[in-house]
Amino acid sequence: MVFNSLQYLLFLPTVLVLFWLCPFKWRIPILLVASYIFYASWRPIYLFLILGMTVANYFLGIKIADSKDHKKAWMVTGVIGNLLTLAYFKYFYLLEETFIWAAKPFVGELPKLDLKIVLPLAISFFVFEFIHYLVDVYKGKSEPVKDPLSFALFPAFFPTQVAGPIKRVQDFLPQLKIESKFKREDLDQGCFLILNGLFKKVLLADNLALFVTGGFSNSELMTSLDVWICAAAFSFQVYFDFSGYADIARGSAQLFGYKVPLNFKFPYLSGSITDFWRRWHITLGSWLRDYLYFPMGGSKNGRFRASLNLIITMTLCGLWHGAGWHLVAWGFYHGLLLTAHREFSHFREHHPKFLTVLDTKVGHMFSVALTFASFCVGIVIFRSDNIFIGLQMVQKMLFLNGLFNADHNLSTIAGINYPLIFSSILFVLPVFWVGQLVCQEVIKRFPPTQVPQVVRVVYATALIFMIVAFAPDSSPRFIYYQF
Amino acid sequence: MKPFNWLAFLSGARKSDVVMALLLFVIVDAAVGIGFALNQKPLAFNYDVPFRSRTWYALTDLAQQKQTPDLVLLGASDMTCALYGAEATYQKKTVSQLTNHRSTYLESQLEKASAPYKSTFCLAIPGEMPSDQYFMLRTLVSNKVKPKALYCTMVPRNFVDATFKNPSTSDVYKNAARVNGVGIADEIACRKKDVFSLFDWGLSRLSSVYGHAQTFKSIQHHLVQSICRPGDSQFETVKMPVTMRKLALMDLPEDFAPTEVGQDPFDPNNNVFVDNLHEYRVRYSQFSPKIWAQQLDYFKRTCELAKAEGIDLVVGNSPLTAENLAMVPADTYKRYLDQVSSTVRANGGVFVDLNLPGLFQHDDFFDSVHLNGKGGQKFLSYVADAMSSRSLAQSATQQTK
Repeated sequence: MVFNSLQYLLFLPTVLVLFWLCPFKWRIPILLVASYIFYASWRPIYLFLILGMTVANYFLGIKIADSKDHKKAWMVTGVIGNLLTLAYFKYFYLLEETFIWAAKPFVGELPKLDLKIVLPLAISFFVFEFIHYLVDVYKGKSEPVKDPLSFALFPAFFPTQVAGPIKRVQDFLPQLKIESKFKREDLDQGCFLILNGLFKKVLLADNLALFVTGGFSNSELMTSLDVWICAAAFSFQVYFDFSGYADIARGSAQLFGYKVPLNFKFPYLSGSITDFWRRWHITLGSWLRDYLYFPMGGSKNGRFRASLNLIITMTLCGLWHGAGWHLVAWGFYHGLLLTAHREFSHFREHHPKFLTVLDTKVGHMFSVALTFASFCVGIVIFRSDNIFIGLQMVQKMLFLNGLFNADHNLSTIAGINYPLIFSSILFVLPVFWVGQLVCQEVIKRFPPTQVPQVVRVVYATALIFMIVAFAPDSSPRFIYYQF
Repeated sequence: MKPFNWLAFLSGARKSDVVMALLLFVIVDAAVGIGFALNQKPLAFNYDVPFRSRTWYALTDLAQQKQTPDLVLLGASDMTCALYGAEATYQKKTVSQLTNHRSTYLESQLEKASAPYKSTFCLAIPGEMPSDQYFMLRTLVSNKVKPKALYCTMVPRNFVDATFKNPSTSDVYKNAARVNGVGIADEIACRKKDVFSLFDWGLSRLSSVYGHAQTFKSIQHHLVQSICRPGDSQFETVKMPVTMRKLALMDLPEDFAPTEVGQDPFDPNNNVFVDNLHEYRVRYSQFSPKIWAQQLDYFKRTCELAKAEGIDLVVGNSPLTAENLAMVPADTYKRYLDQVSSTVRANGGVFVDLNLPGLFQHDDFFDSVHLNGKGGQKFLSYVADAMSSRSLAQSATQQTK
C-alpha cells in the first residue's frame, strides 16, 4: 500500500475513525494492527521479519539496561545482529557479485547462489531505528521500553514505516502516553501536509519522472546541456518525491495527534554542501552524525582524521541508499565535497579577507547555484544504472565530449515539442527553483495561522483540484521505497 | 442520552479549512460537471486527448464522417493487416492506419459482388477482443451511428489469449467509456472482482473533475504548447525521437503521431515471412475457461445487439497458417468454431469460414496469423462475397415473410 493510492485513501480514514472513536487504551493496539496490515499488504511473509526483529530488540533493550557487567556486549550483539540482517537482505547480491568478479582471475567463473532474496520494505529505516534505540539505552540516554505494544509501534508506525522520517524513541514514545483529544487544528494541519505531499509527489515528481526516465534511458542521445537539464530535473524529482512522502507521513501522523520530525528544509537553497546536508533528509543526517561520525571520533582527532571520518560516514551513507557501487561512489563524492567545504571554511576562518564577495547577496546566490550544481553532478551517478554509465554522463556534464552531439545539436531536449513536461522543462526547472525561494519567504513571513481562512480554503481547494485532475495515469512508487 | 449538537458541529466544521475546502471542491466539481454536460456532443470527445491511441483516431475519424458508413468492420490485427495491406497495394502508396479508415479496395469488391453496401469504415484495432467489439458496436448504437452491416473477424486467440487481463483494461474500453459506449452495468461487471478498481470507477462517476482528468490534461498540454511554442500547438508536430518517447511513456497508454503507423504496398520481391510462433505459443499457453466464457458472452451480446438493431451481421473465421493452427488443440478449435458459428446463426447472422484449406497459400501471409497485401486483397474479396450472400440471404428471408 502506498500513500498515493486509493487503498490508502480508504485505509487512513478507516483507521482514523477507529482511533478516535475507541477508548484511549485501545489506541496503540489499533495503530499497531493497522501498521502491520499496512506492512503485510506488500508481502505478508515479511511481517514475521519485522515482528521477529521487534521481539529481539525489545529483549535486547531490557537486557542492556539490566546487565551490570555485559552492557556493551549486549549492545554490540544487538547492533551486529541488526546490521547482519540488513546486510543479508540488502547487500548479499552485491557482495556475491563482487566476490565472483574478484575471484574470476584466480578460480574462474563461480556459480551464483540461487537464494531468491527480496529486499523487505523499510528494512533500512527500522534497522536504523533499532540501532539508535539499543545505543541510547546503552548510553543511558533512553530508558528501556517495558510496554511491548508501544515498543512494537515505534518501528511499525505506518505513517513513517516505509521511508521515515527516522524517529527517535525519546521523541515518539512519550507522545503515545498522552491521552490527547481530537483537535480540529490537527485535522486541518495534517490534511494540509498530506495535500502538499500529494501535490509534490503526484503532480510534480511523477510528471518529472516521465522526462527523467526518457533522458536517462537514452543517455547516448544527450548532449552536455541535456545531461545538465536531466540532472536538474531528477534532482527536483527526487526532492519532490521524498519530501512529498515526508509531508504525507507527517500529515498522517498529525491526524492521530502525533508529531514526527521534519526531514527537509528547502535543501536546494543551501549555500554550501554542509548546509545542504543539514536541510536534506535531516533525520538520516543526524542519525549518521550521532551513531557513526561521532563514535568514530568526529572532529576531535585532528583535521585529517575528521575528514577521513566524514568520507567514511558519507560513503556508508551511499551504501545505505542501495546495493550498488555507483551509490557508494555517490556517497564518497559527497564525503569529498563535505571535506572540501570543511577545508575551505577553515581556510576562510584564518583568512577573513579571502573571497569576501561570497558574504554578499550575489555571492550567496553564487554559492547556492554552485551547491546545486555539485549536487546535480552527484545525482547523475546516483540515478545511473551503474558507475560506468554514471561516469560517462559526468564526462558529458564537464563538457569533455564537446558541446554538440553527432547531429550538431546543442540540446536534443530543446528540439522536442511533445506535450506534457518535455516542452516545458526548460521553463519548469527555473520556476521550481524560484518557487522554493518564494515558498521559504512566504512561510517565514506569513505563518499559516495568520493567513485569512478564505485564502487557506482556496489554496487547499486548488491543491485538491490539481491532484485530482492532473495526476499521471499510473503514479510510480516513491523513490525512497526501494531503500 | 444527550442529543447530538448539530449547531456546534456545523459551527466547528465551518471553522475547519479542510471541511470548507472539500465543500468548495464539491461546488467546483458540480460546476465542471454541468459545463461538460452542456458541451456534450454525440460521438465526440469533449476535448482533445493527451495520448492518442488507434482507438481514439478511429472514433474521432468516425465522428467526422458526413454519412454513416454502410459497412463497419470489426476485428483485431487479422483484419487491420489484411485491410491496410490490401488498400496500400491497391492504391500503390503507403497508407496511414491512423487517419485512413475507409477501404476503397473493399468498396470496389463490394460493387463487383453487387453487395448493397457502398461505404466502409474500419473500427478494427490490433488486439481487439470480442468484448472490445461489443463496446465498439455499443458506441455506434448509443451514438446513433448505425451502419447497415457489420463484419466481424474471429480467431481462436480471441477466446484463449493468456495475455489478456480484463475487458476494462483495454484501450477500446477506455475510449468507448468516454463516448457512452460502455453502460453502468458493464462498468460494474468488468470491475466487480477488484474492489479498488470499482471504487476508482465510482469516484470517476461521482466527481466530474476526476472523471474528466484526461480532458484537463489535454487542456494543460495545449496551454503549455501555446506558451512554449506559439503557433505550433498541434500534436501532429512530434519531433521527439520515438525511442526516447516510448521509453519515457512506457507506463502510459499507447500514443501515436498520425504519421507513425503506415502500411506499405505489397512488394513480391520483398515478401519476408516473420516467424511469430513464439508470441502465439505464449498467448495460447494457459487456457482459461473464465476468459473463454467471458469473451463468448460478449460475442453473444454483440450478435444480439446487431440483431436487435437490425444490423446485418457477418462473422468470419480468419485464416491462420497451418503452423499456427497446429498450436491450437484440435478439440479447442472445433469447440471455438461450433460455438461461434451457432451463436451467429442463432441471431440471424451469417458465419463464413475463411480458414478452409486451399483458400489462402503460405505466401499470402507475412507471419503466422497476418496476411500481407496480396493475401489481404484475396481476403477482402471473400469478405465482399460474404456480404453479398448476406444481403441475398436477407432479401430471401424478407421475400419469404
